[in-house]
Amino acid sequence: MNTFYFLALNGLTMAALLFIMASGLTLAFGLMRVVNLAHGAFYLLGGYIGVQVIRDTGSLTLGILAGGAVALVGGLLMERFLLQRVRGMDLSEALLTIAVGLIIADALLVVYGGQPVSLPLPRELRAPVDLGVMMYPYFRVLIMIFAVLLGIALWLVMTYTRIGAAIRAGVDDRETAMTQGINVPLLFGGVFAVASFLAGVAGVIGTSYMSLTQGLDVRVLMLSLVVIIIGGMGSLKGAAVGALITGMVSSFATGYLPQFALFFLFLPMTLILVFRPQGLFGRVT
Amino acid sequence: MKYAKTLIVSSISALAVGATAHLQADDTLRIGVIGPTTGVFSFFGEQQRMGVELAMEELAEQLEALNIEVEFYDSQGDAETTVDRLRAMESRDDVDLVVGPVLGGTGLAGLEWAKSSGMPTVISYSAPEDITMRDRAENVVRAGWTGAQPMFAFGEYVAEELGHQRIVMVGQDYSFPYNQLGGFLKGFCAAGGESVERIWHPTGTSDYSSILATLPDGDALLYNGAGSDGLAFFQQYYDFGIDAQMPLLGGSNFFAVGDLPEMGEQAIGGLSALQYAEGLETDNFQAFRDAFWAMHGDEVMPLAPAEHGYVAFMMAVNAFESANGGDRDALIAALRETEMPDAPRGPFHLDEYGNPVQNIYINEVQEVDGRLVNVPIKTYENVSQFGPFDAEEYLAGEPDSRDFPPGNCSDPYYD
Repeated sequence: MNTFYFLALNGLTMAALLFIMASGLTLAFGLMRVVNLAHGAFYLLGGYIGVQVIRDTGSLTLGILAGGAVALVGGLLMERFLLQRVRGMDLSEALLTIAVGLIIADALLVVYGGQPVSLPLPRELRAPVDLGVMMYPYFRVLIMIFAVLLGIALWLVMTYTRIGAAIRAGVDDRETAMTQGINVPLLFGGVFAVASFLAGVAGVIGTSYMSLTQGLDVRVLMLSLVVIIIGGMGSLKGAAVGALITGMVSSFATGYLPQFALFFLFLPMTLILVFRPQGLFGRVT
Repeated sequence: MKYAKTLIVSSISALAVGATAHLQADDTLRIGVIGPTTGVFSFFGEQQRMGVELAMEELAEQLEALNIEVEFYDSQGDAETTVDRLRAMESRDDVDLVVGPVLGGTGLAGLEWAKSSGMPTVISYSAPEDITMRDRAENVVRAGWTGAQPMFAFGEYVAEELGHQRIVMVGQDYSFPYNQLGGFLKGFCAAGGESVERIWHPTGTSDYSSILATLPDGDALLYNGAGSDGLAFFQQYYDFGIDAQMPLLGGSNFFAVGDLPEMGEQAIGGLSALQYAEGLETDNFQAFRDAFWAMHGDEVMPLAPAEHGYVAFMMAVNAFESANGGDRDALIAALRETEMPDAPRGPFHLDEYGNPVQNIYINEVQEVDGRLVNVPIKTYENVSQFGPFDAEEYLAGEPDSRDFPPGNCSDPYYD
């Protein structure tokens, strides 16, 4: 039984990290119809910067904010100066984000080298806490709490604020929203910035237990895409459920059949694509 | 007039051909050094480059007397690029001898090319055993090791000295860890071990929590991998407190190459085995390390890829010296007879298949002068790539794979 809880908690930790990554990605997609393939590179960027700041200052909070902030600036610049030039051209947009992702990853390789990096966490964060069913490392519990709070915050913003209403209107019908006086380009920039910020934050948080290395950008991006394909692109609820499914499947598959972990990871996505291509909570366009 | 023009053109071309012929006939000898100096694996290529540069400085007189030039090539850690560079060395740059490649896959690609070209080649860090076993070529020798070579001794040590009977192995799912485990099992079972349970995971796995949740029981855990996977595994192993149940042992690259500073104090006491140890206290080694620090700064620790590059280059220059020039057959014959009694890692000579017979050190991570280093606590002398086994018999056997050799020591295979 202990093993079951253990695997379930691992699944939840992974789901939490995936949700932080995927929520931004899916919102940006829903609003702008751009799959940001540089999202993984922002994870890497945030991670490296965050770890460096934590090493220099010793402050975890500062590191997480710095990682997020750098990614935010990167995302904003990319949206303002590059993506706006190719608005509406699907292929150009996708290729552009791939290019930016490659450039960021390669620049990081030049600056930080190819050796893996780990995050120096204070001892009290690494210590296990008693969850009632079993002991579990404290920082992993924090990651889960953070993801839940983030989910609630995003949901509140989307449901109860003017900005949220504007985003929802933009997702539903961009042209009509513009005629209503919503400043859509500003909205695009804002959502893109938040999405990149979350990717950068995820980069720092994820490094607390996964070492940071070249190539992780692609793996993280792939997992986030799996999550939003399962959940339905553009849906926040979908991102949460998709992250939960992906995290759990991955955890139990790695636990019991490690050699087939990747197979089981992509199985739910394949089934969804066959039987419900728009995703669990996506809408047919 | 037309005749004169043709004459001029043809004499110019004749001159050009003559000039080329002259260029090729000059008495400059050229060594091409290849390794990944950019890209994800640049750590290994940079180490090799620094080792070679140190050897060049120490051998400056011989290089001048023999008129040897050295050129560095970047393989980018990619097999195809490696072969491109090797081709360019031969056809464009008139290289007489190659030192490298460094990584497993590029080593095999380099071997294939060297077979067809006949180029005298000294492979440095690249460890696939078939380079000097089932696919060996007369013109290719190795300054480094095979994946199984240090692990025969480690298996023996774990069973005999540590008394562990049942081992749980978690490893990266590709050929190098198969070979490492193969060596480990053969040594472990021969020394009275009971069983090794294997768990292979895809390379690039970053979350091991679920593997750790379902670990079978054992006396110790062997992590058979390295790099970012190894670092993530190491952290999570301690996060979940598994170290209290089973001590953690490392494959050859786990503590030895690059990750140690990132692992931090928790790594202290970690055991692994390699033909090299940066904590060696022999005069030869300390002279090498001090010279290395004097040249490249003491924030860089010379690790196995650096020493192997250094030694490979020395083997090359020695071969030129005894061949008295660049004649291929003489060079190859000289390389094959290599003896290095004063190598930093300890004395070695090549076996008849072209791989070093050398010391294997059981290393323990210790803190020395404020940095973490692998300190040898036991030495197995004169270990060949076949370990304690007969070469012919070993070669006739199956190559190591995901499921071979068997994990249960009572299997008839071990009789």
